[in-house]
Amino acid sequence: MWRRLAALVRKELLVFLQDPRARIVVLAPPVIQLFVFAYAATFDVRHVPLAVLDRDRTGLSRAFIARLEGAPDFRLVRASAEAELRRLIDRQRVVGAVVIREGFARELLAGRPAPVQLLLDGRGSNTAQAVATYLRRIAADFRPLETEAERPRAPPLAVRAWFNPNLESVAFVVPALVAMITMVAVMGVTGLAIARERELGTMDQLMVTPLRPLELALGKLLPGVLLGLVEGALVVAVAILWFEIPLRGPLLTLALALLVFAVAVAGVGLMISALVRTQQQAMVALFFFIAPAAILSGFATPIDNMPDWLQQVTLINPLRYMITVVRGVFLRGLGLEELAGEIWPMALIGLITLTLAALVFRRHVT
Amino acid sequence: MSASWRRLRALLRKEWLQILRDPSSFAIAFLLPVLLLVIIGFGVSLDPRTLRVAVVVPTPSAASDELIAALKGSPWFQVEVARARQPAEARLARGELHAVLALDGEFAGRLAAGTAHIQLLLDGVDANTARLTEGYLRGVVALWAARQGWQPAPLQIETRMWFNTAAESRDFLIPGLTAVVLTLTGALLTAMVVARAWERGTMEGLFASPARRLEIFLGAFLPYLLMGFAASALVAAAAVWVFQVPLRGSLPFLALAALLYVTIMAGWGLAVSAATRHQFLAAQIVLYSSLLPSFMLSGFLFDIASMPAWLQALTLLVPARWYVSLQQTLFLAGDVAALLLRDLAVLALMALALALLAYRGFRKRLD
Repeated sequence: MWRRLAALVRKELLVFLQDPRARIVVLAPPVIQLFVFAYAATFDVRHVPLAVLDRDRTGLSRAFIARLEGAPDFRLVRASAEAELRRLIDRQRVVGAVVIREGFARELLAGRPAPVQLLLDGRGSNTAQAVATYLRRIAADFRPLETEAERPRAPPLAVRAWFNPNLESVAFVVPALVAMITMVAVMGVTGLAIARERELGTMDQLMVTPLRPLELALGKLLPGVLLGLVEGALVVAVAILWFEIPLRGPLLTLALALLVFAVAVAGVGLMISALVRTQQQAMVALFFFIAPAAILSGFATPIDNMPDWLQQVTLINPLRYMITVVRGVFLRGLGLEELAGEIWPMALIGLITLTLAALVFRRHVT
Repeated sequence: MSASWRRLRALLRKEWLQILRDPSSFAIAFLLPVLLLVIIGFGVSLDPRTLRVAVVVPTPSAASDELIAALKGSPWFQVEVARARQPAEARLARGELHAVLALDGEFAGRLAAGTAHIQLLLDGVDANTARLTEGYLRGVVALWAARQGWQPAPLQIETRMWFNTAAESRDFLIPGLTAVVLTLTGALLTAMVVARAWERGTMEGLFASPARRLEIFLGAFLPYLLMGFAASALVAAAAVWVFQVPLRGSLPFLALAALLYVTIMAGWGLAVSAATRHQFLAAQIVLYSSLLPSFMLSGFLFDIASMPAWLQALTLLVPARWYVSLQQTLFLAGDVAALLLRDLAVLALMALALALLAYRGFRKRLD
């Protein structure tokens, strides 16, 4: 059995690497995804344009503006009138505006809270909220006058972000790409495997070989899993070497989880492949699985933010567990013990998808 | 170069039947827009619902009790109180908490001496949620400090969010979602169906018929234009009635923007299918040249202002960028003349260029 299986796997890999279409599906996406996602998928606020209008025009107001200027979060755009602010925000030239009201210095000197207005563009409410947080942080540390307080001062917040001290999206996005790219590769190969033979008419030839149905199914499954694992490993390497994301947990846990995950999604791919008639249909079917799986995985936005019914739906999504594992190992340094709770659901999903794939395979292929 | 209405009608009917006949084009035309609308509409949100926060209070005091009460009074937080720091930190490390707010043992005493501080530990894995958590917690702590009658912070920041008072991410995501959906019905569907006609040689059959070049072109172009337009109306209706996003701009502008964007997408789909004459390849190229950019480089979800400069420059070439900007402005801000003119002008230019490019592909000759 092993000899026959090995021969089939070898044939599959060879066919695959020689077919230009298949190469496009499997080799172009990881590179494009890795670099576009890693650089574009950002919620960070870095040098965002922020307008500032100084209506106080005192040394103290200028000191506050200097403080804003020093922050890496903003790029300041000076405005000279209220109407100009409106125009800048309307046309999305700036994400918001800081207005230092008249009497800023007077109130500060009197020990009363000095008025500052922050106008934000709600068309990008997430960026706007990040700007507000950073401005509050700067304002909290702005104490230009050391006055003797007659009342106790509010205790300052000492903020520390664990695992990602500078709160960079790249640390959130790149590890998750290990799971995403593995999934696309595994499904790309297994999803097209049988459809291609059908389209080319070579399926009948395979049927008359001494291969048993189980061997045939395994032979269609393994090349995808193998290629997926290779691509996953490459992304891990790029994450560490190029994006400089530290790998804090055990690599072995990551490898084990990735194997379980690859087999689970290979089951889905094989099922699709056995059901469709052409490669074109296979691609559309793959899209119907991959797009929802990616959106409902916590890859870009947290699952916690979804309505409850949709959170329940994500429980059947293998990508959801794999993304938790890969972020856990990379950033949190967690090991097998802590992540077992994420790995067994993937194993269970894999068992179900493989069983279904076997049933579909027997019915539609052999 | 005149078009006969009868011949064109026959061609339109042919194209329509072709979309309905093939299960994959049917799925992309009718099922995918609805699926994406539901999944992205409900599934993609940047607004935290409940943030799990532990407050570590080794020695309770009146001040710390009031801090806990202030946190519990906020709709954002699910608060748990702990005496010891260790277990709370362990849960933060496993990702079970969003934040730990830690007071030290002599908090009350240090407060009187003016040396007290509060430590805020955030789970930084999800940087965006961490930042929002910090923002909300700062708000609650400031409120608490004011209630205690402590010396106020030196600056009083009064924040106003224009166009989206409640700061709901859904309000800016849903209008932009149209761009993603239209890319699918516009470009992917066109590329697949028309490339199939090239691949199977049915396009040659059309060339041999009395149908003129313009008629063949319109026959392959108009159905997708109409379907894309219908899909954009569906998303706009869902935005207003299902997701309750306000629509402050005027409908004619909204319709014009959709028309231009669908023209661009369908034009691109036709150009790619004429260039490749291969349905599989055409679909792949469209997937990576329009669907991925419409999601990642359009400002639909990720803010362009925060991307690296080279990527920002690249987004200028992405039609979805201009369309998403129009959608967000039309829905939330209204008819901002300067912005509308700029975005519509860019889209009109792109639409013209792509329609011409697509038309070029329909030369009545065989290479």
